[in-house]
Amino acid sequence: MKTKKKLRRIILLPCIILLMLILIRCEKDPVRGWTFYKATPPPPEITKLTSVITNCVPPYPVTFYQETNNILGTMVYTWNFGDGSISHDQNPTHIYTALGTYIITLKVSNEIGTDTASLSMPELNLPSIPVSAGFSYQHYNNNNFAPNKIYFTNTSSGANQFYWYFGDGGEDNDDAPFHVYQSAGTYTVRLRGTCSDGSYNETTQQVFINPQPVRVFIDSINVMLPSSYKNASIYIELYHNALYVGHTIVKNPSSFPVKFRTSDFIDHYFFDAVQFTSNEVFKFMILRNNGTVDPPTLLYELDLSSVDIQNQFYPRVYYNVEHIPHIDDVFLDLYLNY
Amino acid sequence: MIMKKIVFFILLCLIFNFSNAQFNIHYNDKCGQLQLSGGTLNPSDELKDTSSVGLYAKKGFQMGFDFNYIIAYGFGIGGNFEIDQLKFNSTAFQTNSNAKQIKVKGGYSSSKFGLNIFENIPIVLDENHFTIMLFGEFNAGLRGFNIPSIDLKYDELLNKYVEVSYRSRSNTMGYIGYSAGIQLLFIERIGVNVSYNTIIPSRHTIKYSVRKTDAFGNVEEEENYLNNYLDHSGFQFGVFYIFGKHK
Repeated sequence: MKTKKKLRRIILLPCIILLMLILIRCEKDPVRGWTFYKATPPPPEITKLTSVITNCVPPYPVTFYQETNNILGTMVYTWNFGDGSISHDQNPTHIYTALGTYIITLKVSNEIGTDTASLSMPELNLPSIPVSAGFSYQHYNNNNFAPNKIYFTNTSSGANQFYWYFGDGGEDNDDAPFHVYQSAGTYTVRLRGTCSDGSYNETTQQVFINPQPVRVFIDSINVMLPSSYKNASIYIELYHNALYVGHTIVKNPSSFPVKFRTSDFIDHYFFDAVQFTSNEVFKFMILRNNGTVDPPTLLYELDLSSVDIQNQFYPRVYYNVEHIPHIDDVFLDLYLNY
Repeated sequence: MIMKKIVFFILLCLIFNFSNAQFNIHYNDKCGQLQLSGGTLNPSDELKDTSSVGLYAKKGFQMGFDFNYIIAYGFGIGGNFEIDQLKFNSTAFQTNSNAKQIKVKGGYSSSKFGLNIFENIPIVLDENHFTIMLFGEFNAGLRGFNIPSIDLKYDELLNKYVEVSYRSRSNTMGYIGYSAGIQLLFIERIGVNVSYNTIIPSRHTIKYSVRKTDAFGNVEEEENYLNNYLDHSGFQFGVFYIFGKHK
């Protein structure tokens, strides 16, 4: 009997080893050593070549702008203005004293390679060109919350004197100024471009500055529902601009209104980045919990705007219920602070 | 000079003792043996190769433990766990990659867990005091294998990618190995051992991930692999303890 047990043990071990050998992952991939990732760096690439004529009559001063990708190493910009003169500035200004059709070429080079682009300027052959005022702007840090700094880019042509009116009482005469708006509002920015012969052109654009967003905390919510929902398992889901904010615990109220306090909010209890000037929506979904198997049933959906929840007094009672059947005894008291 | 004297003295003692030596294959039957050992580790030619298919490994170290139960006739079964570490030839790697700078963390690390078939041949020189045991062990099991973390930096004018980082993925494979050596057992209980061990050459894939960053901050990621023979060999020195001989 003992001999049999020993024999079994002796046979079992090679079997286990054989099984492990089967588990050995013999790869069919070809032999491969380390891969080194070597590639030639990209040469410079001129993506945009533009010009701005800053007078409406000869001599024409022209400022040239280039946008180049793949800026590496020592970049050399060589501008050939078509009249025999050259410049190595990145964005040079050149004065054309004689009328003519000029073809301007730009060669950008570095240790890796070279790219060339050209620009034809037939307007330099005209005895006069029209004055056209234009500008674009960009918010500093890409937000428009007050106080807000804005950089203006001048895209005018034919003008060499500029007058900026920023709409909040501020003025400037720079070609491309920046301006800080201290408070929220809608401002009309006006630019007048004037040529040396006195002709001018004006353009306006509106700039929108929003107030700083705030975080709105929910202290509690009182919910009034029809008496038919007594002892039902009720909870509320909160959404801010379709973004899920959180939900409350489930309550089984024996009477209404039922109050959901701060401690009853499971995930979060605030609406973040609320801009009261924007058309925001705060949605309260009142749901009945049907257990872990069945999905919850939506009882009521209440939508509030940001103006609605900007309470000037505490608490604010809100009765205007939307998207629900017209039942007078359904409402939601929202207790907020900031 | 002193070393030579010691060696000569030991040999003299052994020769003297061998005159009374008794071969006893049942000497350790029904006993367990726990062995702790560590030693050198030499990579295979493929592992240390620095050509396009090489893995740039250098000599390292190993340590581990074995437990075997000797059933009868010196034959036993057991298990082993071993940690191996091979250094990485970062100089050759940097030269071949043309990188400006290299930073390597760790080396090729491998951990092995396997089962053993063990054969022990005791030569009793002095009953109850000193026994020389020759042993051979065949083992097979699973092996995890990881590459070192490598970060290369390139000149932006010489290479599109200014930073290339290699990171290991989880790699598990099988292995078969064997070891053989000599054990010196004292007072039938504890002893020291020296052995040679190796694993049989087999080709495997080692997966890794690569993150490439160009001069403009654009990041590309890809998965890649090495595939070659991952065997190594080495000498182990250690101590062992015999269980169950004294009750």
